[in-house]
Amino acid sequence: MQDQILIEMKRVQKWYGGYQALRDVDLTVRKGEKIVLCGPSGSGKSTLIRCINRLEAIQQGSIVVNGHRLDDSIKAIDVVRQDVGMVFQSFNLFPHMTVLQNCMLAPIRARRIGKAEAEATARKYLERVRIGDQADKYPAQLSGGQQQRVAIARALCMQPKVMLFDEPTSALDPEMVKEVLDTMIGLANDGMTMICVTHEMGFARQVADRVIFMAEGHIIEEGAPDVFFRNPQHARTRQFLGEILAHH
Amino acid sequence: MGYTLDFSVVWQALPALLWGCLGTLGLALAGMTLAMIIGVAGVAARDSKAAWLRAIVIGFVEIVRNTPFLVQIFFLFFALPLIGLKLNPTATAIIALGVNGGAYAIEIIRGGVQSIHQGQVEAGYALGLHKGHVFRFIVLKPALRAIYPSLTGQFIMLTLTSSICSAVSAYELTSVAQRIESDTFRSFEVYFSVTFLYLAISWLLMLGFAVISRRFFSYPTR
Repeated sequence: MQDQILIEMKRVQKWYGGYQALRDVDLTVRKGEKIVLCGPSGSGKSTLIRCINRLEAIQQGSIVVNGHRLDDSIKAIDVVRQDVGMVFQSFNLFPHMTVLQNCMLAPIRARRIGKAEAEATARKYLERVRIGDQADKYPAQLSGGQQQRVAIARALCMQPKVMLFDEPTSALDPEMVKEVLDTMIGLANDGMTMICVTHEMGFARQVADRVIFMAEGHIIEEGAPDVFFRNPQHARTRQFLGEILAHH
Repeated sequence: MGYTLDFSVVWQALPALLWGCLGTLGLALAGMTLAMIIGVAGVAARDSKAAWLRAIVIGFVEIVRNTPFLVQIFFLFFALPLIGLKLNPTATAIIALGVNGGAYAIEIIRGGVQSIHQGQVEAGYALGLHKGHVFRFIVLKPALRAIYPSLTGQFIMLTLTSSICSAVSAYELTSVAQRIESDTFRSFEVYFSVTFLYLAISWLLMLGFAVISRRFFSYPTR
C-alpha cells in the first residue's frame, strides 16, 4: 500500500490571462508521503496545491487524485474535494459558527452523516489538536495559533486522504508558529499524506520525504531534505536557500 | 384663523386608529417577509450560471427601483384584473410592498455578499460543500450582519410606504385616518396624531430589529 499513488499531475499548465503561473508541472505523490513545497513568492507553489482540489482550474495537462481524474464535471470535483483537506494561510474559519459547528458543517452537509456522529468526530479531532476545551467558543475568541489548529481539525473531520497546507504559519505571530507546526508534525507521524507550502525549513528537515523547489511556475528541483539542503543542484535553489536560511 | 383645536374626535376614534396601526403593522411585516424572500432568492439568482436568470433579476431591480410605488400598486390593482388576475386590496398591498422592498433588498444584500472574504467561500468549497450550501450556511449570515442597518432602514421605509396603499383602500392607518378626517373635518388633529402613531410604529419595529440582531448576529468578531 505504501506505493499507492494518491496524486498524479502530468504536464500541468495554468494561465491567469496572459500570465503563466504553472509550466509543465509533473508531480507524483504516494500514500503517506510528506512533501514540502518552497520557492519565492509568485513561483506558483500556492497555485499548484490549489489546482489539486480544483480551487483553480488548469488549462492543459491532467491531475488525477486517488484514481479520479479532475475534469470540469461537478461529480469529479466533488469526489476529489472529499478526499483532499486544505488549510489556508488566513485560517478561514466561519466567524458566525462555534468551533464545534465549524467542524460539523461539512460532514453533515457534504458527507451527510448524522449530527451525533459528526459531533463525536469533531470532538475527537479537536482533542487531537489539543483544543477540545474551546469547542463552544467562536473563532474570534481564539488566538491565531488556536484558530489554525481548529482549521486543521475541521479539515480532518472530512477524513481526507491528503492534506494540503498553504503557508499555514505565515499569518501567525512567531510565538504561535510552534504549536501549529507541532500539530502538523503529529499528523505527519500518524501517516497522513501531506503537501505543505511553507518556508519553515526546520519543519521540512524534520518531516519531509521530499522538498520541492519552484520558481516561475516550474519545478526546479526536488530531493530528500538532507540532500536538498546540503547539496542543492541549481543556482536558483542555492540563491533562494541562502536568502531564506539567513534569517534562521 | 378662528380654528380651535379639538382632540376629542381623535380620542373617540382612537380604537379605530389603533386597529389601523395593526393593519399597517400587518402589511409591513408581511411585506418585509416577502421582500426578504425576494431579496435572498434574487441575490442567489443574480449569481447564477444561467445568463437569462441574471438578466431577469437585473431587469426586475432596474424597473422596480426606477418607477414610482404608486404606479406599481395601481398596476397590480387596476391593470392586472384586465388579464384576469384580480387581487383584493390587502393582497395587492402586501405584494406591492414585498416586490418593491425586495428589489431594494436585492441590492442591499448583494452588497453584503460582496463584502464577504473570498477565503470563506474557498474554505467551503475545499470542505466539499456545493455552491448552494456555501451561500446558505457560510455566506448568508455574515452578509446579512454586514448590511443589517441598511436593510432594517429599508424595512422602516417599506413600513412608511405602506401609507400609499390607502390609494387602493387597503386597510391600514392612513386609510383609517382619511375616513375619520372626512367624517369630522378635523384634519390637523387627525394627521397630527397619525404622525405620532407612525413614529411609534417605527420605534416598535426598530426595537424588534434590535432584538433580532442580538439573537442572531451577536457572535463576536475581532
